[in-house]
Amino acid sequence: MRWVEEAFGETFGLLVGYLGWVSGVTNNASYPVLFLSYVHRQFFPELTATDNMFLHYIILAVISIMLAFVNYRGLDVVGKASILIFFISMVPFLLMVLIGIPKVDPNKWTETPSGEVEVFDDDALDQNGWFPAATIAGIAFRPFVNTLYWNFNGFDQASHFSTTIESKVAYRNGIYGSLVMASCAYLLPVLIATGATNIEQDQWKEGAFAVAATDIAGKWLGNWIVVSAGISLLAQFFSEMSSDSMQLQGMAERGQLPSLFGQKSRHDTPTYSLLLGLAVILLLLPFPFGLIIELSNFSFCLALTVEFLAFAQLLIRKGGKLAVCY
Amino acid sequence: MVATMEESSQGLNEPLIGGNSNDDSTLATSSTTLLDDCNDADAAAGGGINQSSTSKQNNHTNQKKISGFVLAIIVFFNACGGPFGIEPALKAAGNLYAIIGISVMPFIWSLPESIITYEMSSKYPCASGGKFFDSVDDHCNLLFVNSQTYNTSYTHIYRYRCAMG
Repeated sequence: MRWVEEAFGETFGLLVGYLGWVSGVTNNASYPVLFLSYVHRQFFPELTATDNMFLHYIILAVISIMLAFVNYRGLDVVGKASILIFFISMVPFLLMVLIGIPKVDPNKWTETPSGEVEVFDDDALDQNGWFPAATIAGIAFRPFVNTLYWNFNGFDQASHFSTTIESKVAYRNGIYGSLVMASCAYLLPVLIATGATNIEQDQWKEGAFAVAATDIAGKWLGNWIVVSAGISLLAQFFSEMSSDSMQLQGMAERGQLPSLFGQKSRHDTPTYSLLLGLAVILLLLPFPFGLIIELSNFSFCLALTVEFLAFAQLLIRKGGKLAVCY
Repeated sequence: MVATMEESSQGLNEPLIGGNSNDDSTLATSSTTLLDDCNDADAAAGGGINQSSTSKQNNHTNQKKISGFVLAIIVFFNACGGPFGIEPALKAAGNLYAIIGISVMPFIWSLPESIITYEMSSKYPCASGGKFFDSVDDHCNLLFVNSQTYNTSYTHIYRYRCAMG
């Protein structure tokens, strides 16, 4: 990242670029894996994944290659595909909100933790680890903060597109627009799902929104939400892959990587950067979802920390005006 | 809060004109009106950067640009992609605290992250691909910012960038 380089020198710039890229690509590999498991669970529950690992891998690989090809065709194609997926996947939530509003009982919003919840039985939260699972006022802080953090993260990815945007105003609108959309996409369904259904605290786990939608509007909406979860993963794959390849392209243009990775295809996409990303994804696909996510989180945390330190360092170095602005 | 936002985004219009212009005198004028303790050398340094970035920008004019809306969608999917994944927060904290957390989180985490990203990648847009925005004095366009002081601090960064070549 350019700013990190400015603050701490080239070595750190390269390190952060590398970590950010590793995090992005590993994260990317998790989307096809999740997508397949959604489809698997919803439509072929009788098959088990262990039956034919090879077929499983082939399907994942084909999905990844097809998605990578869309990315190769250019950012505007990715953008159009993403817009389409955005509407398909957000409409069921909009319907849930609209149908659910009359059923909302605001008293349910004020429910405090029951204190009898076994928090560490989810996939992502199944280990206590060495860090104490602090519970204050009934809130299990570690999974709480962890979940919030991960869900409200990722806006720094916009920096990778700073070169392909029409204008500075469009760039600003894009960043803040995505912030508003993301905030609404979390808050509104949560408000409706907690206010209009009787889902207990203990029952809130992955897939709970499909249960809530079934409660509110019927089975058809629940199914739609499962499908939209699936295709939303595909769009996440697109955006992640484009930002990763742009990052490699940027590093190549600054001479940190062989210039090969900066070469553009006739669709104006960095061909070899995409291919390298795809190669790593193909290597990671056989691994379980949790492992991929952990690898991604680890490098992401390191990279983001250095990015923020660089921001602070730049401001402090230029006169200690940090507190004035933020 | 809303009032502050509108006020400062109106304030943005003026510096933007200076930022988009390649004319040194316009730039110097807008800089000096905005920056009280900024001397001419600073303004000149800003102008130098502005011009060099413009010349580099020309190399990219053939590139297909995306609009703000498309960027918003792409970043949306980068950051969120829908409410999937927020469920464990409700489980860990119950309805009330989860709703509070989800309402507050955009302001204490995502907004600063977005602002930093916007500021920094406008400042150093070569981050991943090339050089573009002639960003001169259009930071501090958002919320709680004393733009005079802020502009001054960034002017020093321009000078630094200039020294770096």
